[in-house]
Amino acid sequence: VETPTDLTGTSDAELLARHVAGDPDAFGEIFRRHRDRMWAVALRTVGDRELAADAVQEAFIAAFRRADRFRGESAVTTWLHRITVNCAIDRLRRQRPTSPLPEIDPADRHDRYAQAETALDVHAALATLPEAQRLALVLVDMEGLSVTEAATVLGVAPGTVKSRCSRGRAALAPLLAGRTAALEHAAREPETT
Amino acid sequence: VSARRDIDPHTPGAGDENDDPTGVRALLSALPDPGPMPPELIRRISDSLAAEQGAHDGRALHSGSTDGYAPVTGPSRVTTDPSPVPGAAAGARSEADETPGDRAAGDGADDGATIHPFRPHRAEPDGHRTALRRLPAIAIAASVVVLAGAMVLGLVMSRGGLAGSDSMDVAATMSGADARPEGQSQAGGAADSAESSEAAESMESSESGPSMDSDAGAALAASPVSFYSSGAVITTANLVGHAKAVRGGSTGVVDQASEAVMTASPVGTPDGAADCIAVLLDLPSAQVTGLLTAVDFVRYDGTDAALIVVRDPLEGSPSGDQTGPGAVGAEASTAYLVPVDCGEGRAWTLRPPVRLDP
Repeated sequence: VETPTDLTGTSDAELLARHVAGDPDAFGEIFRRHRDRMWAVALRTVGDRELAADAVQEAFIAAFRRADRFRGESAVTTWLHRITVNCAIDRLRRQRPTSPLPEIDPADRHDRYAQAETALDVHAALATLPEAQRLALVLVDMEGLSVTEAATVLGVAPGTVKSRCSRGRAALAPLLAGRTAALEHAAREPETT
Repeated sequence: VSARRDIDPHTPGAGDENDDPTGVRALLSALPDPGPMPPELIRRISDSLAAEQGAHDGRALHSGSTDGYAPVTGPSRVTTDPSPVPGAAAGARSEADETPGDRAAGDGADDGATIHPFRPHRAEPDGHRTALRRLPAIAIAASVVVLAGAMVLGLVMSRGGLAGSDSMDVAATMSGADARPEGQSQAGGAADSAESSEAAESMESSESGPSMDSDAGAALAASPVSFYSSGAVITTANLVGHAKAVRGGSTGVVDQASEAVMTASPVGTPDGAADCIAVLLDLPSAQVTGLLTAVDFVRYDGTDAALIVVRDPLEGSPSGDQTGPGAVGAEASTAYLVPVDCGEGRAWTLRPPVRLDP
């Protein structure tokens, strides 16, 4: 039996195949490789850490269960993106009847968004967009996927993704006019981690 | 964390080279990266995947995995909201805006992600797996019985006047005992065993005796507090629902890790919980004591937390005939999600308090 360290050089597609064949460690390696990226996708899609946590957990469980349906026509990471985005959308829909946007209470001294006013504004503006436009912007502009990759994730033509991005940006522009300069300036600052 | 860090946010991507006249794309790209997946979430998902692997292998354990992969016992499972997705079947969006989620709703939508408390992974030789796997479950069940019995007896003794009484009386005294979930019902029912008596003695030796005034004592007698340790993962979405379940005496499960937290937490006693709320609301502790309904030890944002349900002082009454679970459940209440070490100097809410209608 191979140990997980033996899997580090194995491709994603091979890992998935080994998982389907019964290798108990293969999917753990896939999880290790992609968990941070999928977390970012889920968080940016739903804008709420708790919802994102639930969504990404659902996504990995779904991927685990449905690995045999992966046909290799796209990259594993694209397939995972698709599942994660779907789970995030589902979570948002469950949330929406009672709380259309992540709750922000100015009186809550411990709100995690209190120090990220600008990011919050951007998220609030994103939340006003139609879901399809928002997803396109999250994948292309925020997650850095190519238009082709985003099209595969969303199951639409690349031209549709371009169109949604264009319309989404146009809709966001007036909402974020006051933030553009500040964020662009911040983006040029050295990253501190 | 993500590939986006390797991308110059001011360099347009393929396919949209001339499509950012307003700078929105640059703005979105410049937002800070969310960072790596939180360790608590990694643990959560690892546990869930381990459970999936166990089911996939016919409940057999596997060894050699990392990331905390571990077997999970059935009673410890906490399932997130299993309700169907509102609007998913209703086709609320237009065809043009439809995403694969509509056509492939099975991609996680109906899977009902399961959240599991962590269990240390242990690998045994194949030939002994079945028999050995049952031993921890038996031990866990026994320890739950002993601990819960001790908690029940210890709590009642801390209120004064019931030390040494029959444990069935103790169970009857606890608010919501009849509606308690399986684990806690078993604990209450078995509390008359010799083990629970010994555990209660142990608890007694480690706790100070009651030191409340007569008014507070009367309030407690009229309004016993239920303590739970569900270990449920509280989110923005489920806070109100879970608080109502706690108020109604049905938290679903008993989580061992949270039970241990409750034992060590000052909020795990009626006095401690009252002190926490008293500081929060700037009220006399004795007044708050009579309003406490239930306390559940949960998880929130990767840390332990306590969910304290308090009857609305304007509508609830600590006295009179409102002592039964049904009476308590019919009152307006407020739920406070607080740190497990809530008290003087540490009294704040992790989420804004939520009001629970009757």
